[in-house]
Amino acid sequence: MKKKFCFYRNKKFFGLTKRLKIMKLTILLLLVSVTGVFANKSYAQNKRLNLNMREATVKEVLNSIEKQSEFYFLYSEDLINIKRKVNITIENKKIEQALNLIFEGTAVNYSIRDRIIVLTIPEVLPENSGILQQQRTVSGKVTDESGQPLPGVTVIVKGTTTGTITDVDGKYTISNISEGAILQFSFVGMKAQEIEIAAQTVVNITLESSTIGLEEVVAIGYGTMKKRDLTGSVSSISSDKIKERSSGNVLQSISGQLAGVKITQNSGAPGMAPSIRVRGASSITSGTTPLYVIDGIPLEDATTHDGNGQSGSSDLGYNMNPLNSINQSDIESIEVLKDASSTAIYGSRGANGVVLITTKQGKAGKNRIEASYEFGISKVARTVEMMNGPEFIEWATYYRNNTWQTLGGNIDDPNDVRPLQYQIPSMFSDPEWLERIGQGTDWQDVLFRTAYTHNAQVSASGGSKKTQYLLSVGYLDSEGVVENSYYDRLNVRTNLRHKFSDKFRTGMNISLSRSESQMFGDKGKSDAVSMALQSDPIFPVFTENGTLSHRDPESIWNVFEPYYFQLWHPYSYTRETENEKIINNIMAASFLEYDILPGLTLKTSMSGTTDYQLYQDYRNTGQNYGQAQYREAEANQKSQLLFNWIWENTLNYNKSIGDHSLAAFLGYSVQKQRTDYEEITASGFPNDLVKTINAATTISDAETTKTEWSMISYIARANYSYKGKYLFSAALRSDGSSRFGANSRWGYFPSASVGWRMSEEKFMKGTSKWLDNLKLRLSYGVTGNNQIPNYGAISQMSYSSYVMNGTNTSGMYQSEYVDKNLKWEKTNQVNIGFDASLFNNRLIFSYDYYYSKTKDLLLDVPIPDILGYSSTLTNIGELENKGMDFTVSTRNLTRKFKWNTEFNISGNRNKILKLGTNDSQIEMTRNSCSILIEVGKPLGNYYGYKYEGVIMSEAELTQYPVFANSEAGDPKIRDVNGDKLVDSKDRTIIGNSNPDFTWGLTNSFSYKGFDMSVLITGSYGNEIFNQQARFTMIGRANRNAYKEAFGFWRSEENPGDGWHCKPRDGQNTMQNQASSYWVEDGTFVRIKNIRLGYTLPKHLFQQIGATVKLYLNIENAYVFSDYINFDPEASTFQTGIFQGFDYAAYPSPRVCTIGVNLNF
Amino acid sequence: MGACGEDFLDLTPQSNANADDFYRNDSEIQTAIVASYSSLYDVYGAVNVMYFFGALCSDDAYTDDQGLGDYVEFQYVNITPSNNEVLAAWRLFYQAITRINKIVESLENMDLSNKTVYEAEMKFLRALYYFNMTQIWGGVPLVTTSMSLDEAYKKGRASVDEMYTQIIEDLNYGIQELPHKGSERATGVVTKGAAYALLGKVYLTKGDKTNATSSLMNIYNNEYSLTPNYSDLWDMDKKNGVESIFEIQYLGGAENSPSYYWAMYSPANNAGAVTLQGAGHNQVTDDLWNDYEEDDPRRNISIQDGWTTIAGVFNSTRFPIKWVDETENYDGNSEAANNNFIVLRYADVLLMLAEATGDEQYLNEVRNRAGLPLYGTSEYPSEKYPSLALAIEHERRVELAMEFHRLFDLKRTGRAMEVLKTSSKNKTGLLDNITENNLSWPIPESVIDQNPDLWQELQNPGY
Repeated sequence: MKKKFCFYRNKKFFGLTKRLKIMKLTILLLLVSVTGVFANKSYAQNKRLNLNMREATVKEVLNSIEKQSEFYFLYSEDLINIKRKVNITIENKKIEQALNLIFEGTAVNYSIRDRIIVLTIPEVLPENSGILQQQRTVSGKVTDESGQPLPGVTVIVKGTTTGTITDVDGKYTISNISEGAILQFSFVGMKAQEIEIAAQTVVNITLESSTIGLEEVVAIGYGTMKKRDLTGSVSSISSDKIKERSSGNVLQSISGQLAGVKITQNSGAPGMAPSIRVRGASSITSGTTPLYVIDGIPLEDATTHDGNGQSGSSDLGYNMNPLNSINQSDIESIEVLKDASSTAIYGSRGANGVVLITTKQGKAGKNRIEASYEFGISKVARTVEMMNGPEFIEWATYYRNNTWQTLGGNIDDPNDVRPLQYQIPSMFSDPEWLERIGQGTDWQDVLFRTAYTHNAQVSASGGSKKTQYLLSVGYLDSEGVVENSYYDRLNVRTNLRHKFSDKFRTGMNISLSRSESQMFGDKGKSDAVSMALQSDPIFPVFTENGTLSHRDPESIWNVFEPYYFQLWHPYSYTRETENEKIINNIMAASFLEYDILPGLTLKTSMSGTTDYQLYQDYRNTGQNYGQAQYREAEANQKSQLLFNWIWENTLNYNKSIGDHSLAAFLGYSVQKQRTDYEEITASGFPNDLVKTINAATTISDAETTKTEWSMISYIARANYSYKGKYLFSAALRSDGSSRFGANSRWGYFPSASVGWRMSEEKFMKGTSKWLDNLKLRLSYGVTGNNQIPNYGAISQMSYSSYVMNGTNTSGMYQSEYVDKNLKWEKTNQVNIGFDASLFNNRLIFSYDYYYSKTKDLLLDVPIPDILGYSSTLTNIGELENKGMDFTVSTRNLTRKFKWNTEFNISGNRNKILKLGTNDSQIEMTRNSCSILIEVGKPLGNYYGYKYEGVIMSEAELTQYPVFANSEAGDPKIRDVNGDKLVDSKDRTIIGNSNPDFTWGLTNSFSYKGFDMSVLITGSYGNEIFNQQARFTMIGRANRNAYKEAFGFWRSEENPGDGWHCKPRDGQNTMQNQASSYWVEDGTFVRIKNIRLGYTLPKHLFQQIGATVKLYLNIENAYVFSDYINFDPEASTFQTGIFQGFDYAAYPSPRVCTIGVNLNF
Repeated sequence: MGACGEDFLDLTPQSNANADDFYRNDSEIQTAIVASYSSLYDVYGAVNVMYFFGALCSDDAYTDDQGLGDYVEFQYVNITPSNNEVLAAWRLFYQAITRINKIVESLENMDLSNKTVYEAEMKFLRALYYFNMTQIWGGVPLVTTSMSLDEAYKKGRASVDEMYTQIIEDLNYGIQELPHKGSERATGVVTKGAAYALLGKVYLTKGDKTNATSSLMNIYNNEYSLTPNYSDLWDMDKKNGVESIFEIQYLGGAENSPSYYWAMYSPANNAGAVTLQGAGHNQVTDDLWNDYEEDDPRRNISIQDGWTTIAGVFNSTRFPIKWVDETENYDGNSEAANNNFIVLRYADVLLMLAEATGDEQYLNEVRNRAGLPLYGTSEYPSEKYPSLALAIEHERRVELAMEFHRLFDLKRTGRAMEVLKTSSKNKTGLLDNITENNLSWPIPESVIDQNPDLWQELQNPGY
């Protein structure tokens, strides 16, 4: 059981007229967590008690016993008179003896199971039981879903005051029940059940945990709250939704399961975090990543977000998601705070949403050991169809002839008048060579492999009433589908809680994670995957000499060398170079908590996180001729040490008076982070034997830098509810940040929200048969985005050397034009939503509509170049996001065969409202492909020419406007502005990276020991800018091309498919310009995950007291998509504005995993 | 609980100096001046604005670089406002000028013994940059002080006359305050001679031959002379020789400030046959090669006539060898060479004098050093160069080949159109449609987009 429950004293259970008093929240936690109770009578038999009390109430005596032992009492206050005074003196006696004395002369019975003691009295007749005929006694046993007995379950006869609670074995007996009566079974955290009594005398019942219960507690910033009382918009997911899914980063496992939270797996490299956006992008140039709060420690995603997020593991600013170091199976729950009223408590860091991670804690009472092992097989599910050898030869021949003609040559010109790059090699017409080339090499075959993954976990947890612990160890060994890439990670975690007294508590969480990885192909451009696609298929994997390419002067293949053919050999990438990245991450958090007064708690916590990254690479001398050119050996080492500490002091006050309940919170926090970076590049290695820098003769580059930021925050929040019906919440945070300009150092972030539980109103009584809950919510809040450079408001100096007197002399100059008023981006958001559950929670809806407006957008605004700087970071832009999140979950079948469905869909619309002075549009270009940011349009608009097929003939050249110097067979481009000219003014919007909507659908089934779930996700209406096309869709620079392009225009007589233009290179050909030819539909439907589990029959393992489960998990089972490259979610830019640009990102493989899970 | 005060938030960069606390004393000013000189590496860099305009746009050079359409626009003098290199050049000049203005402004309130020399050096560089800009674009926004964002948005172009007024004023300040070569504060910094030479060139370009002559005569037969061996000009052991008037100082090795003329001007993708890889820039056209007289020794000192691949195939691409550095300094991908680049030298001054005065003696001093028949003698190829003007044009072309002078010269003499249209670059008619307008680069598109109301009317004609 992995739910958290909250329990209030003196709480009324629905429909129960006799008030049931349950002493301890901890008891419930204990009971609920019981899954495989060891019969351990020895405690009760061995524990000796001492009591010496005069004129004490029974309650005081029971309390005293609880204090000196680990016993818990469970009883109903209305059945047991606990105010009765007793005198008791015992010395070194067993519990039974003590209880016999206490209840001597009363009707109270007790039963003891391990440390749990249930007090009952024989059933009394109801006062108004007029009809006595046909009455009888019903008894039975209540268990949870795993078959464990549930003590303390309330059983009452509906419409009467007759009732009891189950004993330690989950058993109950109720007498005097008339036929047709209805028994109600209820228990905190479980779905209540009603059973009509006909003729049966034994009613055994299994209660299900209520995963969607209103009593469920969710984490909110700086505290928890019952779902029932929430007024903001929070998506929550518990560990049972992510178990058995062995992702390197937990975000991969929750993708598609939360409305309004778009999680995209941009790269399939092992250990790679997906990108995450909560309710669209609220920023243009600053970060769009949410704040992560791990067990209360706020951590920013430090992934570089300067818009140039295209980088690989060699960049230490890459893949810095704080969840990378967390072992997924240590996670208890994940909450995503979406609306501004929820995130405003995180002030200047709340605008992109907040992800709260709570790790598992040990539970009192019993020791529990859980172990699992998984084995996985990964394979690239979709490869890219490229031209083979003979196709490429034809393509290259056309390419060379066409380009030669572009330069003024004639197609009939013999080789000797052409430069080498336009000659048709004689080998292309030599049968011996053509046979040698054959079908050529599929370089993807060479680069990709079947990869294996092992994942093992062991955890132990438990504890006493005073001290609880959880220890966990996990090891993940995952190979990548690109040769020689891997990601291994060790996780060790210790979570401890201890009570000094009832008022004074302490606790700590310590986790260590170490990962070691080697990565190839994750950079997109110029990396192994992209290069394997572009490499010419005519070359063999090995030459006859065992070397890697025609650049080997000794090889017969060297005849191709002068002709500028292209080969970047996958073996050279993955074997002639090596790299390793090590990340050590330690998070340690500790707190002290003291109850000053009842309801008033002071907490102080100190946490530290350190993250050390070490990257080393080495390139062998010459790379066995496999790289594009002969390169000398080189080594590079980088390291980065990040340390973050936070000191937090909070004061919490909870008070209920009658119908009024109030919770207030005050907080003060100080946080600071420092990053130290160093890098050394060295060359001049005598040979490849020693690859560390001590063997180098030249240090060609070395640098060290350090940066810091700091923050002081004051936080206040108040929640008030009246009768649990009218809910109010208001919060204010004030952040002071070192990142902001001296003139605008402090920001204030207020929020307020109201909720109305309409279903509690009297006038709704008529609907109570089918409507369990209906709540309306309205919220407003102001949040900030502080993801700006650390020293953005301070004009820095840069270094630039000049040789003075023959000596290289260091010079400095002011390198930035700065805005001294630089501050956070500010988002104002309104959220309106409702939650409804119907038919006894069989059907549950949640809907939210939001509108947010972000002002003071930090834009690197172009400024007149005559100032000496071309841009400056300033708060000038505005944009809006509006959209809706909708979730529905249904329990379709609830008997032996269970079937649940969850569906979520969300859509976001984004519009830019203001940009810089004059609202000048901003064009940003990466590798020929541009996006255009302009007022009135959404973010992520691709910018280029509108491609309309091929100019089919010479005649057509005069029939409509064409780009200058166009020829028949060239791209036909739309004259967008209608000026009868095709030129750069005809560039227009040719796509957008943002989907119209995204959705996820989970169906889960269970029958006896079997369970199964299928998750399907989808995205609709987005486009992909395929940057790879700038080489592989057109003839360019002698690279291979998509097989699809083989339908290219050859001549008027042989015009091909009309869509693919002829290969022709030249600086001004339209082929080389970004157009809609390179833009593809990004809509997809993905069978994201299929899980199948089987829990082995319990009796097989009864002797060792274990539960054993076997499971099969398939990630990324199938994608329905028309996209030409590997994956429609691919993006070579991890963060920032260029998402959706794919330069052959590392493919996301299909992963099949089998696992076994043992629970003791 | 306010345990941490406001100063907890006052974090300043630790790996970068803070500009608010700089430019305060002699040592910091000197450090800033070093960075100001370093702008020369960009402006006169191997693949940068002076190369694009002076060489690549001329009939002397072409590029084998397969990378960018922008280069091809230069090669065929058909430059569009969206050309990224044009924008980069515009920015480069203003970045350099801003560094200068910041120093000049900071010096105003300071009392340093070298103050006027520093100021004069900076003003020389400012004049050099504005002079180049005026030739490339015509009048441009004339910025000599710091200004606000608002002022910058509203600032339009100065007239060509206003440009020259400022350039001449700055150079005259240099002439007044700068020391002679030999007593400059460091080897490689600006001297009085450099100011005279540049001022002469400015006047010549303006068409004011009288003032050009008088300025240039100040350095004629003074501290400068022709070095006896033409090849000494690029001899790395003879940097800053007697002929050198203003020379950009490099030091080989990736860790220093190396030059990349050798790497960039070597044949493209030569794969170790010539250099590590080669970028194929500033490749020599047949026209230039053929313009050398048969026994002109300068040709083989300046140009290599083809090369052989490592596979043994001969490639007839000709490329410059003025900046060869065989001392094997690599930055990993390219030769990090030690060669200097000369901006102003005495041979240039002599040829300018010949042009300004119409007196062939200065021309003949240059021909004499090359060991070629003097202009006016019967051995001189006067059938090919029938006038003194053409003789000077020819001499400048071969003497100063590939040193970024060619299109500046042709534009100054008004011969550019005629020469370009009959050049080998136009053998397929690609240059048929260019006009004089193409000899001024367009104002970059993004400059116009920033304030279209102001700038749309200020674009150069033809764009």
